[in-house]
Amino acid sequence: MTQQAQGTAEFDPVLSEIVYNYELTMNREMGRALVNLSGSFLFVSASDFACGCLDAEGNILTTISWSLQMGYAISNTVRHSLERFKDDLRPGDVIFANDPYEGGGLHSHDVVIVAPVFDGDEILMWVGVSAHVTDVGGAVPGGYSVEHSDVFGENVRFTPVKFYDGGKFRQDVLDAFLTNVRLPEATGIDLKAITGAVWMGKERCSAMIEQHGADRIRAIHSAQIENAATAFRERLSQLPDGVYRGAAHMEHDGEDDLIYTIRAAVIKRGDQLTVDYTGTDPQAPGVLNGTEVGAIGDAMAALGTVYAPDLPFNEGLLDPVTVVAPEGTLVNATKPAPISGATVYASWFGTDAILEASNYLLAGHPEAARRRSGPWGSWTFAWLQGPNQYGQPWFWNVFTGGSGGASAVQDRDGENAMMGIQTIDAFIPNVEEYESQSPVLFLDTRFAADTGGAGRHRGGLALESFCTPYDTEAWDVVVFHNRMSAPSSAIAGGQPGAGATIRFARGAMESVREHWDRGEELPVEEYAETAERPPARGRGFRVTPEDGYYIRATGGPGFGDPLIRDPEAVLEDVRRGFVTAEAAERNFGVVMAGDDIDPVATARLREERLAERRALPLGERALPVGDGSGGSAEPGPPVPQDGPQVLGEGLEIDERGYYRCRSCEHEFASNSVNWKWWAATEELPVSGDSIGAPIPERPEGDLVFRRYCCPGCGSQIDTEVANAGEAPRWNFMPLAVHEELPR
Amino acid sequence: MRLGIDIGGTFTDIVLQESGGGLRRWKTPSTPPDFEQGVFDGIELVADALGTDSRSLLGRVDEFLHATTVTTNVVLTRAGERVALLTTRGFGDLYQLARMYRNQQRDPSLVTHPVPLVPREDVEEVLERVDYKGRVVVPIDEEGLRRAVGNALEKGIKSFAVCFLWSFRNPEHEQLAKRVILEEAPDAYVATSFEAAPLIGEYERMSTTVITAFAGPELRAYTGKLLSGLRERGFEGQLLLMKSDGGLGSIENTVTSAGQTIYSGPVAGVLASRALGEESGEGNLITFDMGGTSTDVALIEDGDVRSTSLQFLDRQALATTMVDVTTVGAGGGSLATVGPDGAMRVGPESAGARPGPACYGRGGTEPTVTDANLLLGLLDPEYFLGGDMALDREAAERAFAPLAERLGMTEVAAAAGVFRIVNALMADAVRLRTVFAGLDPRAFALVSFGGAGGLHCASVARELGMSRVIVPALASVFSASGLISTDLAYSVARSTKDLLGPGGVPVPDSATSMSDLFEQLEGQVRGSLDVHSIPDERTEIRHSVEMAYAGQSLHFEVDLVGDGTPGEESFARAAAEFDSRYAATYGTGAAAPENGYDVKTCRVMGVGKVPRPPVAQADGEGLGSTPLPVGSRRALADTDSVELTEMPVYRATDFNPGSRVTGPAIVEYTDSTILVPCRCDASLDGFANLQIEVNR
Repeated sequence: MTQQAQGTAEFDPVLSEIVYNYELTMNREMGRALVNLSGSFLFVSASDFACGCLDAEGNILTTISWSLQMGYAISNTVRHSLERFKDDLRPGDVIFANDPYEGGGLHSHDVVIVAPVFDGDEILMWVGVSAHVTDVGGAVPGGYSVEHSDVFGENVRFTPVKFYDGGKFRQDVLDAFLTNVRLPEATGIDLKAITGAVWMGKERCSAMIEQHGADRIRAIHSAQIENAATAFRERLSQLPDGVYRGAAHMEHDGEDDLIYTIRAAVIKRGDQLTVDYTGTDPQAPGVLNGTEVGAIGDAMAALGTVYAPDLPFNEGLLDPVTVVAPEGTLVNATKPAPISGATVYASWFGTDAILEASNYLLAGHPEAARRRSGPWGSWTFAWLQGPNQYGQPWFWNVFTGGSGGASAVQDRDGENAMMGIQTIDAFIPNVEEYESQSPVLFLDTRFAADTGGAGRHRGGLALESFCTPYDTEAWDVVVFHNRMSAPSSAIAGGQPGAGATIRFARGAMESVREHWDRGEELPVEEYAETAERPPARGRGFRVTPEDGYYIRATGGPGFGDPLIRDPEAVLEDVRRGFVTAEAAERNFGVVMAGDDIDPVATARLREERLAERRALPLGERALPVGDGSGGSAEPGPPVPQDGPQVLGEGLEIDERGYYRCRSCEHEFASNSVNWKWWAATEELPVSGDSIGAPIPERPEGDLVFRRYCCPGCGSQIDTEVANAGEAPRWNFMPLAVHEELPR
Repeated sequence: MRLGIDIGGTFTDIVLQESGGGLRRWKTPSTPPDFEQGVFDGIELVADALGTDSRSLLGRVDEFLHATTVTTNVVLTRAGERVALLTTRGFGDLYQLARMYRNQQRDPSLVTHPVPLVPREDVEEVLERVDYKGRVVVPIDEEGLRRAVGNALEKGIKSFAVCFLWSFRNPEHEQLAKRVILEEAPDAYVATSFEAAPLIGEYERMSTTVITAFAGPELRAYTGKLLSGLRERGFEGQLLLMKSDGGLGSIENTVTSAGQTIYSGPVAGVLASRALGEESGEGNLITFDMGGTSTDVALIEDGDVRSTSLQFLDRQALATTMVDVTTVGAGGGSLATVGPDGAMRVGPESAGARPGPACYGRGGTEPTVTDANLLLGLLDPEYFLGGDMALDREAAERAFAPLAERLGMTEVAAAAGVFRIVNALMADAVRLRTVFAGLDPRAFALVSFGGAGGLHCASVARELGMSRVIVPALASVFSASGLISTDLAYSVARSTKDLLGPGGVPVPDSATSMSDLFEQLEGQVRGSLDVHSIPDERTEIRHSVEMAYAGQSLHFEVDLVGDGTPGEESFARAAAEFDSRYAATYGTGAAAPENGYDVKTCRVMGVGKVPRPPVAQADGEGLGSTPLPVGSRRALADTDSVELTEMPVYRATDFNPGSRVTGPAIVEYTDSTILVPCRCDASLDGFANLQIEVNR
C-alpha cells in the first residue's frame, strides 16, 4: 500500500491509471509507426527497438522495449540533451544521439531520437525511441569490432544533435550521419521511421496535455514515480538485510581468450538497495565493454523482473537504489574503450551478475523466492555477408544464437528458447522470412537435447540451427560467441546450461545430400561434433554452399539439486527428446531400462551419488584462499540477525545465526563466516562433464565449476562458476559482518 | 426468404427477412453445448409468432444464414479434435517455438510461449524440402510420409494439419500428403497450409492450419447435425455460414477452412454496421460491441470493411483474410482492483458470466464495471433486461466498500473512477486500432451494439474526439440482422514477391507471374461460387494486392480496378491509390514512390451479391414528438463528473422518428441502457436508430 502517496493532494488514482494506459498505448502506437515506416528486418521481424515516455527531467515513465535496458537507456539521451542544450531547447526540437559515452543508447547501433513536449515555454515531458539500426559504419559490416580496437575505430557516433531545430528538419545533420554508413538508403528510411514515431508520440502527448491540463499531468507523472518508489521501498523492507554477491563471466576480448568477470554486490539495508559493481574487471581492449547507462540499465532490468515485475517499469524503482559502477571497468568503461557490443556483453551480463546475487536475497521472502531466476539466453551471432540471391549487398545474422533457454525457477522448468529475461517484446523471424531475403537454406532447427541445465527443475533448452549458403557463392563470416566456454550461474544447487556455439561443417553438404537420397535423418549432432570450431571471436571465415553452418544458443540454468528431480519428469524429458538417456543417468541419477525407468537402479544410483557427495572434502581443504574475498576458514561466533533466513532450497540460517542444511539440519558454520568452507566441495575445470551440459573445456584452465554439498545428507546445496584460484564466492553476509571487513 | 441466426454464448438471435423485405427479430436462450438445439427452439418460436408450424416455415426459407461461435469456443476451451501436424523434416519444433512470441510478462516465473494446440509428440516430420522460389530441393519421401500418417492413425488421430516450408509457392508436396492421408484414412479431416493460409511465414501458416484441423471436425459435426435437423424439419434451401472474411459460404467450403469462421459472430455485427452506414449515409464507422467480458472493435472506411491477414485468438496466430476485429479484454464483468502502485485498475481479470458482477446476485463479491454502473445510477435495478432480472444494489455496495476504503474515496467516487478508466481503456483500444490502420478516429462515427456498450459509447466517442454515435434499432439482434444483408463471398490470397516500377508498371517477370497467379486464384473462387449457381450479373470478381514502397514493410491492401485479369492500367491506378493513402497517413513528404513498389500478396474475392431488402424508412418530419420521461434518477452525467445529478429517464419505446432528448439523460431499452451524457443530444432517426451527437 502506498498510503503516503495516496494521502498527497495531487494523487488521483483514477487519472493516474488513465494516463499510464494512454502513455503505454502511445508507446505501442509509436512502435507500430516505426515498423510500418521502415523495412528493417531488425524492426519488423525481430522488434529490436524501444519506445518510451519520460518526465521533464528524463525519468522513465513508460516503455515498451526489446530489452528493458534498451528502454531505460532512452533516459540517457534526454538527460544529456537537457544538460547540453539547457535553455536552447525549443518546441519542435528533435534530438538525435548514438554515442554511448555521451548521451546515446547502450551501443552505437542504437540510434536514440527524443523530443521534448512543451507546455508554453516549459518542458513538460519527453518522448523517445531507441532502435537498432543495421549499420552505423565502422571497419566491420554489422559494426561490432572484432580485434582489439578503440571506440574511434568502431562506428560513427553522434553526441546529441538537433535533428529538427524548432520544427525545421536538419538535412545537413542527416547527411553527415549517412555519409558514414554502408547502406545509406536503408538507414535513411530507418531514421525517417524512428523520427516519424517520435513525432507521433509528441502529437499524442500534446493531445493528452490539452485534455487533462499540464499541471495535472505533471502531478500525475511525479506521483507515478513516487508511488512506484514507495511501493518498491516497502517491498524491499520485507526482504532480509545483508550483502549478497554474484558474478558473470565473459570470454575472449577479440584477440586473447581471457575471462572477464563482472561482479555485483547487492547490499540491502532497510528499504534501500545498493548495486555495487566494485571488483569488476578493468575495461577490455575488445568489444566486451559497456558504458554507465548500461550499468544502471542492467540494474533496472533486474528490478523490473525478479524484484518488482508487477510495478510499473518507471524510474521510481531506482529511487531507493544506488548504483556504484567504478569508472574504467567493463560496466562503466571510459574512452577509448570499444563499446559497440555493449548490448550483448557488459550491458547484458551485468544483469546476470545481479541476478545471481539477488537469488540469495529473494530466497528470504516466500513470494519473492518464486521469481528467483538464473541468467537466461545470451547472444551468440555471426555477421554473414556477401551478396544475397538478388545480387544486392547484404549482411545479416541467424537469430537462433540468441534463442537461449530460460532459467528454471522454483516452481517449474525453464521455457525452451526464450532469449533474455529482459527481452520482453522480442521475437524471432520465420525461416521463410530469412530465406526470402537472405542467401540461406535452413536444413534443421530444433530444441537441442541436453542443453538445459540440470536441476530439480531443468533449465530451458537452447535452439539450434543447421543451414547452408544458398543461391550465392559464399558467406564471409564474423563470429561473436557469448557463453561459448564460460557458462552462466545456476540457482540453489542447480547446474548451468550448455554453452553456445557456432561451427562450420566443411563439405557437409555432400553427406547431407546422401542422407536425403537415402531418406535418412541428418546427423546434425555428428556434423556439429566434427565441424571446424571458430574461436569465440574472429573474422575472415568463409562458408560455401558445400559447407554447413551450425549455430546453437545457450541452455538455461537449472534450479535445485538435480538428484531430487522427480524421476517421472526425467522420463518425460527423455521421451520428448529433451534429455538423452545418458544425461538422465549422469545428471539426474535416473537409470533408464528401455523406454522406462529402472526404479531400483535409480534409487541405488541416487544413493551412491549422495554417498559420493558426502565423501567430498570440505571446502577448507579443497578451495583456494585466493585474494581473501571468501573470508577466512576459521569458525567464529554468529552476529545477531533479525531471525532465521532462507538462502536457498537447501540452505538457511537458523534462529541462532548458524548456516544449516534444510534437508538434514546439518550445521555448517555461523553467519559471520562463509559457509562454503565447511561444505563438501568439488572443484573441476568447466567442461561438459563437470557442468553436465555440452560446453568445451577451456585450454587455459582458467574457469572452474564448484559444487557445494551437505556433508550430512549429500544434498547439492549450491554451485558456482568461478575463476581458477579464486576464493569461494561469499554470496551472503550480514551487514554487521560486512561493516567489520577491512576496506 | 432469408433466415439469419446468430448464436452467442447466452442468447440465440433470429432475424427473418420476409418476402416483402421487412425484418422481424426474436431472441431465445442458447443451449450449450448442443447449440443446434437453440436453433431449433428459435425456429419453433418464429413459427409460433407467425402462426404457422416450423415445417411450412422452413419450407419457405431459401437461405438459412448462420453465424456461430463453435470454432471460437473450441479453440478457447481447447475442446477440439486431437491433431497430428505433419511438417518438413528438421522443423518439427517450430510450432512449439512459436517465434518466441512471449506473453510480455516481466515475472520470470510467468513467461510462456503460446500454449500449442498440438503437443510435440503429435508432430510428425516428413522428409521433403522446397525452396523460396518453389523449387524442389528434396523430393517428398512418400514411404516416410505413409509411415508418419500411419503413426498418427495408430494413435487414433483422425485429424491432420499439413504444413511444409514454402508450400504456398509449390503445393505439390502438401497435395500429395493430403492424397496419402485420405487413401490411408478416407474419413480423416485434412487441413493443408497451402489451402488454409497460403502466406509467407511458416509459423503463422502452421498455426492457422492447426486451428483448422483442431476445430474443423467439430464444425463439421455441428453443421452436419444442424443441417440434418433442418432437413428433417422440411428445409430445402441452402445453409450458409458467416465467415471471418465478411462473406457467407457453403458448409463444404467453410468446414474445410474452419479457421475462417473464428470471427463469425463479431464479423456479422461489423457487416450489419456497414449496412447501417449505407442506410444512413455514413461510410466511416468504428464498431463498438461491448459485452460482458470483452469488447470488439472494427473499422469501416468509406463503406469498406477493413481486413487483416493476421489475428491472434488466445495467443494462437491465425493468418487468413478476415475482417479486422480487435478484441479488448474489458467489458461489463471486468474487475476493479488497486494496483501495487496505488492506482486503480480495471481488468484484465473478469468475473465472467459466472459468478458475474456482484449485483447479479450469483455469488460474485468483487467489484465490476456493471456494479459501478449500478452504483452510479446508470442502471435501474428494477428494469435490468426489461425487469426480467433484479439487480442487488447492496451487493454492489459491499463489493465496492473495500476498494473505496483502500483508495480513501466514497463508493460512488470509486465507481465513477471505474467508469472513467474503462472508458479510457476503450478509447485507447480504438485509438491503437485506428492508428495501426493509419486513420484518425475523429473522422468516424461510433456504432454501439452489444449489451454493455450503451452506457459507455458516448463517453468513449468524446474521449476520441468523435462527434457521432449510432445505437442501431436492432441493437439487441444486430449481428443476426447483419447476416441478412451479407453477400456470398469467397476470398483466396497468396503471398508473392513481385515488383512494380515507379508509376506502378510491373517489371516483366512480375507481370507474368502475377497474371498467372491471379488466373489461378480466380479459378479457385469461381470454383467455390459455382456451387451456388449465381447469375453472372450478380457475380463480381475483385482483385487486390497488398503493396508497399520497395523495401518498406507498411503495406495497404489496394483494389485493382478494371475487368478481367489486372493489367497495366489497374496497377498504375493501384500505385496512385497507394500513394494517396500513404500520404494521407504519413504526410506527402514521407512517400518514396521513386523506388517502386513491392507486391506482397495477391488476393481474389468472388462475390455473389444478394438483393438487399428495401429498408422501411419512416418519414421523420412531423412525427418527432418529445417523449415524456418515465421518471428521473440521480446518476453520473458524464465521464468527468464527480457527483450524481438528477436526470430524466426515458423508455426507447416512447420514441418515434424525430424524437429528441438532451443530455444528461438515460434511455432504457429492454435489453440495454443508453447514457446520453452532458453536452449530447439524442434523437431517433427514420430507421429507428438512436443518433447521439457528441459535442465537445
